[in-house]
Amino acid sequence: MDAIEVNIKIKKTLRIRAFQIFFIVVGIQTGVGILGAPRYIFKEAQQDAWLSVLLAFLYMLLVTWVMFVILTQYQNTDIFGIQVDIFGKWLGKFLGTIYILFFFSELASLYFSYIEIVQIFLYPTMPSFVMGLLLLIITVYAVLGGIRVIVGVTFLFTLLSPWIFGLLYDPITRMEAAHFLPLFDASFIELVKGAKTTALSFSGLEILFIIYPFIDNKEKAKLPAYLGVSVSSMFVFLTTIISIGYYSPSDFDLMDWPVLSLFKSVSFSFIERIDYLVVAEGMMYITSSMVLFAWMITYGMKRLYKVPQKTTLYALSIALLALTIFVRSNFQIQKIGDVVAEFGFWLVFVYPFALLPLVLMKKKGQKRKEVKND
Amino acid sequence: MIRLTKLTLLLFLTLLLSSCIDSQEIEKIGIINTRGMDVAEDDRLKTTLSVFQFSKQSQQITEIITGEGKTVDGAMEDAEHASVYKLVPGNIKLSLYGREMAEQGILPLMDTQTRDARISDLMYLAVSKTTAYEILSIEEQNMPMDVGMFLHGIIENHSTDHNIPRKTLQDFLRIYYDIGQDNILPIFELKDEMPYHTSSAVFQGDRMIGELSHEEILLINLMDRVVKKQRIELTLPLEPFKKFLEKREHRNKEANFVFYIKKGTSNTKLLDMNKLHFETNTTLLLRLSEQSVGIILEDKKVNDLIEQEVKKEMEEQFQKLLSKLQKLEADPFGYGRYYKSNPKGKDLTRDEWREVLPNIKVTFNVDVEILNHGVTD
Repeated sequence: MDAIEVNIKIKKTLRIRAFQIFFIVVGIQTGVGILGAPRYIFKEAQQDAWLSVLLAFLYMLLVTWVMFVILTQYQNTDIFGIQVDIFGKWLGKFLGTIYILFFFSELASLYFSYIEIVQIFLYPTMPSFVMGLLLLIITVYAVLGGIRVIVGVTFLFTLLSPWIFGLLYDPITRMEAAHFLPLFDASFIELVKGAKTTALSFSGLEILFIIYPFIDNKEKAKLPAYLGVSVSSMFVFLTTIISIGYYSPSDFDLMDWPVLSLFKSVSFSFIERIDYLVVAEGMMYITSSMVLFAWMITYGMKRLYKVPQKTTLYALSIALLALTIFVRSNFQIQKIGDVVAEFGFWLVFVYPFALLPLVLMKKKGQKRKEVKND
Repeated sequence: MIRLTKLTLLLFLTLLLSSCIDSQEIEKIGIINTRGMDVAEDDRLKTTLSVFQFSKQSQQITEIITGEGKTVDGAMEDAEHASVYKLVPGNIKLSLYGREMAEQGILPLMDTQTRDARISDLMYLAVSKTTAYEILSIEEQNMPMDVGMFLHGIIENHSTDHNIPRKTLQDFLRIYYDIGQDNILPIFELKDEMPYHTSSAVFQGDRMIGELSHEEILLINLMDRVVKKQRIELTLPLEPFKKFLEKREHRNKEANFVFYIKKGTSNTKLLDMNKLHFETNTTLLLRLSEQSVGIILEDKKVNDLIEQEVKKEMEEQFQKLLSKLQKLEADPFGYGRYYKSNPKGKDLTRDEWREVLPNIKVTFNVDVEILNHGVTD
């Protein structure tokens, strides 16, 4: 097996600007997860769920900071390079493969959830295969365009879609203040547990580890990343607050997609059922996340095993299409989501903290060596 | 060039794929706008659907279809047999329950409505004094429009200026699942072949257990939200106003007043958890619009006197309604919410609240201010 280079050179034409990190982070974090997130947080922290979101937000800022500390120790590398550098060739590659598998399960979770939503809300008789093919066509098309097209898609869709949150003014007027009382009732443990459930909707943050070498002006990359995290947290915070006020607690517990159902109460004289539109609009959120995950998988395979990106892309599309035949029931899809949430929590939100001391130690050792050699 | 061909192929594929979805031409579907639910024999359900159809042959746009079945979906399916077209439930605007149905409990009927994402959450709910079928099947000639739409219009347009509860499916479910509050829904009744909103139904959980008059609904509204532009009619004793009367013959012992509520708000507190003592403070800003006896309103004193009498009358009405509701063991006021909001009461269950409700004590304080009385004194 060939060793992989730790530091990589990215062609000037493939580089992206730092501000685009903002759109990438928001685009990848705001996927299908947000539609169900409030319910899971609520299950743990009850009416104080919104505090959990704030907690998760603060924690994410910390994680982002740690990721940047790790990345800035190197000249120009990604997580695959770092892991090989720290753990050696074999273990490093193995850990990199875990990352890739995780990206694939995230992609699968998004893909199946959206197909299910479309079938439930819009077309119950539509075969999953058809919907899947449509989603994959657009994903493959975008990923074939390369990193710049991918970032462009994310930029455009992240800019074009948040208006739907404006429609929530209607549920806001129907909120019941008593649902928030008594305030600060949940214990700290419950709040932490609630914060942990956000792992599914906030997963995707690990893209910083992958896309970092592509950033042209790296010194300016931190602020957009923090802002991106803030904005996607704000979306979850907002929808959580509205859901708590709008649904009665025991009803809320049973909703599959509380946030989508919020839109069911919005109606205009020219569009009676705005929720149909929101489901269709959801494709923008899904596409931007799916495209980024698919790219990360193909790029990772190229980095670790030198597999051409196109090969991986086609293989992964065929795999997903084939899986559509097997993954049919709601429970299976939920299971995938649960696995991603549980695994993602450890990989995305805990692992960087373990990696940090190792990286710092190694770098210190290297410096000492350099000093000695001089 | 190759790229272009590829792209065209892809686009062509999307076109083909889109035909996998059922097409729904408006001439070939029947859009259900109102659904009535009644109890039929042998524990079965009877549904009455008011359906819009836009076919060329038929002059009549609305069609009334009925069906029976053990479940809601089954009854709808049965009704579909009687229709030429495929019935679509995506735009049901009103669900009307027969009285017997409402008394048996309507929650079981709502399951399919919440489970099916294609059904709108915005449908209004109402109760028929007799059966839903009777109201929905009245002759169309007498009506300005389709019956279902007529009822929907009444609820939609009059809920703010009249005392008609406007409850959507979502509202009903929220209140149902919120422990410590009960629902009210409007009741419609036929009078001379026309549906009227005559009173409102109080629910205990999902079962209708009593009726409330328009006046009583106003009191509930006053507690529930900010009431504006609402008319209120009060009968006060004439005695205190004797000194200020116009010189005319006075045959009655009572005086009728009509006020417009400019703004009415309330604020409720739980004073004592153990004694179950609540306090509701209501502020009413009124405009006098009619009085039957000719009280001269030159003096500020008269104004104050009326304010005082109104206060007394309103507080009495509140107490009376409360004891009526306590007997019914229903809590549309939602005092349970305030109980549950307290950290000590957060584990309150529905049954516990039913038991506790008859023992609660509420102090009603109504603060009345009459802002003006028109152009004459």
